[in-house]
Amino acid sequence: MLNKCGNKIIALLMVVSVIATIMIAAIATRGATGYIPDPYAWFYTLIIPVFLMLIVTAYYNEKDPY
Amino acid sequence: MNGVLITAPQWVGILVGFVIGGLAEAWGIANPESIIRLTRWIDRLFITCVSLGGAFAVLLLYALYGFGIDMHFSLKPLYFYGVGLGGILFGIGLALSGYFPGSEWMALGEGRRDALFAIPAGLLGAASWTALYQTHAGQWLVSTANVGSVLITGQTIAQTSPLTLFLIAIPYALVLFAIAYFLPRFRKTKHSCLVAFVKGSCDEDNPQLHAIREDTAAYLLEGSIARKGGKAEKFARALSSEPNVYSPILIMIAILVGVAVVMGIMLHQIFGESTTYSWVVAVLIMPTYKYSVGVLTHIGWEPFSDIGTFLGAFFSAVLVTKRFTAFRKVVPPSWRNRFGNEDWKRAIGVFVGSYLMLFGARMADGCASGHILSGVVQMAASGLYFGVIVMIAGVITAKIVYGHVSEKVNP
Repeated sequence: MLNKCGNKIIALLMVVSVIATIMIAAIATRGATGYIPDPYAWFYTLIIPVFLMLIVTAYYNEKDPY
Repeated sequence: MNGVLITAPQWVGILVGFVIGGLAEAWGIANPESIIRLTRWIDRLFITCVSLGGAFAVLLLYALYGFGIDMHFSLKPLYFYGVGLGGILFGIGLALSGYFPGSEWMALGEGRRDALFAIPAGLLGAASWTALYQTHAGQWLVSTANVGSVLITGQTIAQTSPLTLFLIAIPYALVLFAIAYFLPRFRKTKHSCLVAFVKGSCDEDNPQLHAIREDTAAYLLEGSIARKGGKAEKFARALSSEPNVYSPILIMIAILVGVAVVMGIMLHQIFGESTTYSWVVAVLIMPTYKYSVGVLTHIGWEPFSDIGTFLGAFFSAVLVTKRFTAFRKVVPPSWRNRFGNEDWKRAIGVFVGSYLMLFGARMADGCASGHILSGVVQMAASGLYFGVIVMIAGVITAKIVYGHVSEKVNP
């Protein structure tokens, strides 16, 4: 039961994080259409995926592998 | 051509990368064993999927272009020595590491420990090319025997009318369909579509295919978060069951990848993965180098589409295929059966392989995504030339490195 609940929280976190990452990219790049990306905008876009990876890894590391 | 030109914002690259990363992860390309088996000519899934996706995509691309939608075409230049040598290095690196530049981001999304060694090595490889580019040797490689950005016809897109391009795309797509249809996916399987076509049936339950199916599903799920007997296991078996790529799941994935590549070309640029390594190097340590200056001003949304590739694979691995390994120790079976299960040996292999691969990719001005996938879709001569050389170099290297050692999870 607890396991299922944890998995659901992770799934929800994944969905929210993907949407948030896209929103951060859109705001940080200010809708730029050119061919010169702003490194700072790229860095800000990376923040959520990196932390998400750490959280998900910590969660699944506690479980038995296939 | 003066048609409708759409230019999407850079952040849309995340969506394109997300779709391609998620679908490619479902194919199994994030798993280095899939690529090692490709170079060992044991499982040719990648070739058949690229052929199938490319066949649909090339027709869609040039049909849209013919209907007046301008495209952000970007055929890679064909300079025979540089692309050739780059392809050889890329193929050697591919066989050693089991990674493409793009599949390294996907592997990171799958939580693969060896990807942690692959990405720094890739950055070092890209930095090496940045340093070499402005030397006489580097300039010789990219300028000698350079015929420019040409199609398979030898002409440029600007020299060819949209109708002619579409008419060329039809037989070209048929050849790609034929490759996908008739090339048997697995080595030594007598049951290919060619046999099925002649005999009218394909025995899916024969013992040989059954053993391959079980082994393929086992390596795809090794160390993952999937449950024994769960949906992920059934999905892995379904993907591994066909001796040719004609299962509905694989056809659907290939078409969606092709459509995503075309959408990228329509909205902003071709799909590429390896320039980001050079861009990171340029931003962090080598901004004034001649090669960096070009990368910094022309890369477009690729750093964002690479984040999308990582996120798409991550999403798919955790929520769909359940192949997320949480950075546990999982050494690819081919490597394990040849060199042992030690982490440090695998780390060295991945590091050397990824270094050579990225060095070669930057020398050739593209990788499996920019040259092979996007090149095949655009009918670029350089993409096909690079792809053939990569495969030849990869197969020879794999033959030398892995020999006849078993690829099975439980040999």
